[in-house]
Amino acid sequence: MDFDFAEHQDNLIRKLYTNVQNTAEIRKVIFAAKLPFTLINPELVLDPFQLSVAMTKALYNMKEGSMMTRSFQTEILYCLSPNKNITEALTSFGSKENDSTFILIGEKQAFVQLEHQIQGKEVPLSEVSQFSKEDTIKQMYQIPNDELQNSTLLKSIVSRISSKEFATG
Amino acid sequence: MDSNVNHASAVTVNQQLFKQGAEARLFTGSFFGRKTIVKERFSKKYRHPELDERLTKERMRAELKGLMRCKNIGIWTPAVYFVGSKSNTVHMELLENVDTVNIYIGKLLMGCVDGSCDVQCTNKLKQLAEEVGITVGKMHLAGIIHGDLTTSNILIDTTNVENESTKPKLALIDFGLSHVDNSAEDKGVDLYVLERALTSTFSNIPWFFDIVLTSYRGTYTSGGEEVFKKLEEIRLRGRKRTMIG
Repeated sequence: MDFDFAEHQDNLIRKLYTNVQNTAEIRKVIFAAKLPFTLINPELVLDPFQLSVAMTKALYNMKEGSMMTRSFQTEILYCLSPNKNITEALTSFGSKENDSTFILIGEKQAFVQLEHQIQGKEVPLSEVSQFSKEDTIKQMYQIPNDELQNSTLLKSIVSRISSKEFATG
Repeated sequence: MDSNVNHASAVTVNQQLFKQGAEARLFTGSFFGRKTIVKERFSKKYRHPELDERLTKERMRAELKGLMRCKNIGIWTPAVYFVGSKSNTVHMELLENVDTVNIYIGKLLMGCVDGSCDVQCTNKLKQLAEEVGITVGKMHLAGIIHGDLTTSNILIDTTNVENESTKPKLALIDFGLSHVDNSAEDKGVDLYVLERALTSTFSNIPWFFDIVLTSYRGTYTSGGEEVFKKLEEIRLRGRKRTMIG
């Protein structure tokens, strides 16, 4: 391996919240205090494994000094995206002000500052597919039905995430 | 807890070598609980460092590009989980319960008395040949040249292989020498390499490749004929073009 992933053990948390009343406020708190958190739109996330692949890639980019965005938080969003358009990645994969469901990824130690402010219900991340939209995902990642004869949607998604700098263009 | 990311066991690579080729070493490993093959392209000390770096990068790029294009048109290829651009490693899905077509044909023929096939064995081989032709035809139709189309780079799913009513399921691997091109010449070379791989190991079933070609043409109707003409030329002169004239 290129670097030791064990270093990051227990350092990051991933949580799924639904029925959130104050997403706009949470976003403001994160931006204002520059808290190390990312809020992700769950409609484009099929499975926690998709997040693992993007997060591994973002960690690697950070370690290698090859991040395309300014912070690890935005790098995760960029890594989730199948193409190299940063603005598009941030708007599509980031949560929006009036979203009531989001995935939160960030540093465990800083979470105490945020946790009590979220007015919503936490659900296990393994249930994320309840909130995902397969057709939107297929469109975003440009996965034709032909491909799914011999692949699964999840495998096709993560393959695009991990190979995008090499396989596209 | 499923809300925690356990990076300690997230990405592992077994130190014991799985396979060694001329270009790369293969290790087994795991990636967030999924079994992987880790393909590491190593540098060649006899090459000029800059050239070496460039070739290695080019082949890794070719590998991912070819693999993704084939996946896109419905050909079974391993999923890609992680690419280490600095160490030139690709962590991909370990395909389980597969044989290389090479080994699979060998197993089939071993079950036959003195090398001659019984009916059941012949049927299986015919089905396999047909599926190989369809897969390669599909790939060439999409303008993908594999570049190293040997019987070791085609895998067969062995889970349902006993059932005669289901078609063999094939996967393509090792796209390091692949490129996108519509030249009949390069496609002809792909077929030639496959033919040589088959005839050099299994000289007692010369009809196998004929069936491959028939189903290839059935799939690649628009250009198969032209590729056949090239294949004839290539058979006479070998894989490389003559430098004369």
